[in-house]
Amino acid sequence: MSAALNFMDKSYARVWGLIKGIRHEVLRAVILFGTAATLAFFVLYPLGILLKRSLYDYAADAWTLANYIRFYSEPELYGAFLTTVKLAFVSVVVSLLIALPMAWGVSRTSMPGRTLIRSLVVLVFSTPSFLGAIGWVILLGPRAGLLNKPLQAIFGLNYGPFNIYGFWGMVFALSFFLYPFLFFSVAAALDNMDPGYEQAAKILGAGNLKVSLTVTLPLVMPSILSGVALVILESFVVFGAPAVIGAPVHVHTLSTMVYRLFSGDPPQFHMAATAAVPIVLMAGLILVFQKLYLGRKQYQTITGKSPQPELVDIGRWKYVLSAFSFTIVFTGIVLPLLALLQASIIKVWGMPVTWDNLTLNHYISIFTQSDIVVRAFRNSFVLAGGTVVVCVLFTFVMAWIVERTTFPGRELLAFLSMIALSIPGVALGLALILAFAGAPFYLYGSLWIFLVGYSVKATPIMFMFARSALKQVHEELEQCARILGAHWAKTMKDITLPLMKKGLLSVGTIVFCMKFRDMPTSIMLYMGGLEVVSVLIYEFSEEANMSSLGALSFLVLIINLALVSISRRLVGKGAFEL
Amino acid sequence: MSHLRINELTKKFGSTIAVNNFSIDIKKGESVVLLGPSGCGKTTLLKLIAGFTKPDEGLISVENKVISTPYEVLPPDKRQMSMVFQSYAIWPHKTVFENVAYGLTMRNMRKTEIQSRVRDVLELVQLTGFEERYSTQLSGGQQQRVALARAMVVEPSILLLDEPLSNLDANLRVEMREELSALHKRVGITFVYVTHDQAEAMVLAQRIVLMKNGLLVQEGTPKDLYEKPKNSFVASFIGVANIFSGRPESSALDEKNRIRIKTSCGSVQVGRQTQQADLSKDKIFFCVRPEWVEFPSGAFDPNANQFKAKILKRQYYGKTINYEAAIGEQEISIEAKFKHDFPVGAEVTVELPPDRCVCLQEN
Repeated sequence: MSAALNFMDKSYARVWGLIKGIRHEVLRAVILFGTAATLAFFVLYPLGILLKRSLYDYAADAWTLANYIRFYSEPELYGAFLTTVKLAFVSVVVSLLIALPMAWGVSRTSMPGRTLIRSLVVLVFSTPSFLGAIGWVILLGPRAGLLNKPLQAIFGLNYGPFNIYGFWGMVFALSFFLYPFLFFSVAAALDNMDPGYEQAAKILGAGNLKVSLTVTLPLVMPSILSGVALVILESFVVFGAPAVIGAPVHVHTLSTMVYRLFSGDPPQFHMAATAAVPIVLMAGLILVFQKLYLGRKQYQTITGKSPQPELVDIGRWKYVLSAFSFTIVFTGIVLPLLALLQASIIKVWGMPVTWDNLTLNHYISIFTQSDIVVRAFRNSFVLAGGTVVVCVLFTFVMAWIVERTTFPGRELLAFLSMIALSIPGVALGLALILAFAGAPFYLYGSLWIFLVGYSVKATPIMFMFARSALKQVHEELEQCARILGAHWAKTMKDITLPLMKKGLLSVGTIVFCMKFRDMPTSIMLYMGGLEVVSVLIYEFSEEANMSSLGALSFLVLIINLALVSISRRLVGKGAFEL
Repeated sequence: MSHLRINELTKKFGSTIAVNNFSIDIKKGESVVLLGPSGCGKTTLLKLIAGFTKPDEGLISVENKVISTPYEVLPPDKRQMSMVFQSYAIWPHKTVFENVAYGLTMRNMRKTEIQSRVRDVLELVQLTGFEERYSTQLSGGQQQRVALARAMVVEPSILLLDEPLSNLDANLRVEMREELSALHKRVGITFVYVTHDQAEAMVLAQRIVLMKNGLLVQEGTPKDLYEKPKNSFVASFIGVANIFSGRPESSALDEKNRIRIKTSCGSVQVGRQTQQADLSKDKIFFCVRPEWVEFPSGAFDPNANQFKAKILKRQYYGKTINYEAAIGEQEISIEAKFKHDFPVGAEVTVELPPDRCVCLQEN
């Protein structure tokens, strides 16, 4: 028995206990406060500075709405806002048209190839949309587009009939990467639906179509809404595809407008901030909607314990559905990636594809031509790795506080995490520069600001995961070790962490993959000498250096796919459905 | 000297009082069962004893050394107690051997010593040969025995058990509670056992502590609680009871320490626990258990607590026949021996022996 509590007299025990207890309370408060303060500092402070920049006139030392008035009266600036809204709306419609039949076909019919389609859509989902966009530029660029040239020859045109640049090109390229949000959401709901609901309707006399419209559809409506919310969010937030397809012809979304205002000559920080604020608000709104209306979905793991739903026989239509699905997938991802491949292995861009004209030199020359690519790879690897390490540790502490303690106010951590999630990459990059570039931090010009940016974006995902994983380690497994004599740290080492290991590795790999290819935040934070791989891809595409662009893009693609398959192998489907 | 002493322990969760001013003295080697319906606070109490939660008021001490106060709690790893959890908490990433040996690995023992102790305890719970298996390869009963072995191999001074049998199927539950009872007699550790199953409590307890809404309602041997329940909650929770109420016909006990109570059936002589009855009240409760109701032979004697009853329902069980009968408006349950066989609708004479009519204190 511990000497510390070895008393005969109860009142003495009370007093001594009070003294030691206060010490413990102080320690608890320090840990909770420290974690929350760190999170708040790196999340709320930059956000606050961003808001202030848009609302405060530094020259006149007064609050003002002038920036917003200017933004919403100048057609070019306001146009970016409208374009973004248009993009979101059209993307939702297109995604619904694509994803609903595909999800239904994959889950509820005997459509041939449905298992393959599922895996392929996962592949689509895990490919960054800017790579796809670059592929489409290669294919459908008005002058030298690979698909345009043969058509030019046949019809004797000066310019190709298809022009990828512009709003509709943006919609086209993006839709192929947005529909998976809806697809997964709806397919999961259909997979897990109790067949009893439909069977009950059928027994009462309803035909297939009526059942689908009056029973199935309403039941999956929450997942449809959830998927739609994610599509809208992503359209507001995405940077790469609009930057490559829209910006060159001055079709801007809010994200690319922020970048343009920020990197213009002279840079207009206050206008950039003003452009960024609606993105943040929209993202926040959607996340609040998700949490309140559909909150339960966030921490569920997909275990699929419900019985298999019945397959609906649609006769010959299943071939039509199958053809449709494969066409979508093929067009959406295979075509543009083939374009990237082609650009990377042809000796000189523009030459016809013959055996003589193929080479693997470009893959080597991007590394040997100059230091820049090597440096960028090194930076990307180091930053992605560093982010994973920092976030694993930090989010584990956060998850522990929220799940295993009774500290008052610990839900604050979850709230701060949600705020971090709702800051889109471009806005975060801008906010970090505004907050930390100058005195007293001077983080601009070093990799540290990247680490902060990546970590802020990665924390919500890892926190959600860490929390869910910790929930699954039954508290009694830890309590048992404690009562057998293990102190807290030993219990973590022997019991908790080993049981979370596989999942941690899987999520860590995903986060590594996402940070390795991150574009929106990186494009704002980089400067000469501090490039990361995605920024180089953007630069190559600006320079129209097709061979290097193709080689680098394809390389990134391979790495991306490798990391994704490793992660999936570690844990199975669960890692994806966040 | 008491082994485990709990003094005026209170624990609140927000506005709910989970444990309300609870006090008890447990002797060394005693087997105490905390019994009660869900939400009565028994598991919270166990967690307080183990040191997983801190009390809001009160003290816990072991052999006169204070281990829990509202300000500081001796951590669970220093209490030399052991616990069998309701979910068994078998670590899935360790083998049966590693699970059972875990507690010993922290006690500076030689490997050979650990191996022999683990082997011995596995033999005790009849799991020899299971050392290399993982929890996914074990049935519920086997997991429970691994949990038991793991808790016992460290030779704790107090063993806490949190509804360890509730996840087993009925037959296994009966078998395991016999084994636990035998184990306790053989090994002699202090048991604090939590359950909501009254039959389990009767088998395993030297002393039952019945709880409701965080309060200690009654404590005593199984026989005490069964034959002298304090109030209708105790009477109904342990076993089945017919509850009667009525007005006392006098304000004092007669020479046999009995009191006549006027109920809707008529006048009933009540003979047990009458000293605790408050005869100044105008409503007194008492109970009679179904198996204590008798069917007298001979002439009807209204002075001997005999009443005319009509059989409403009949259920044949072979060894016994259970009846629902009505004495006027009062319905009672009767558990009769097989030889008292009456059809539904029959008019019978029943006798409630006065010494089997137990006064209750309703609060």
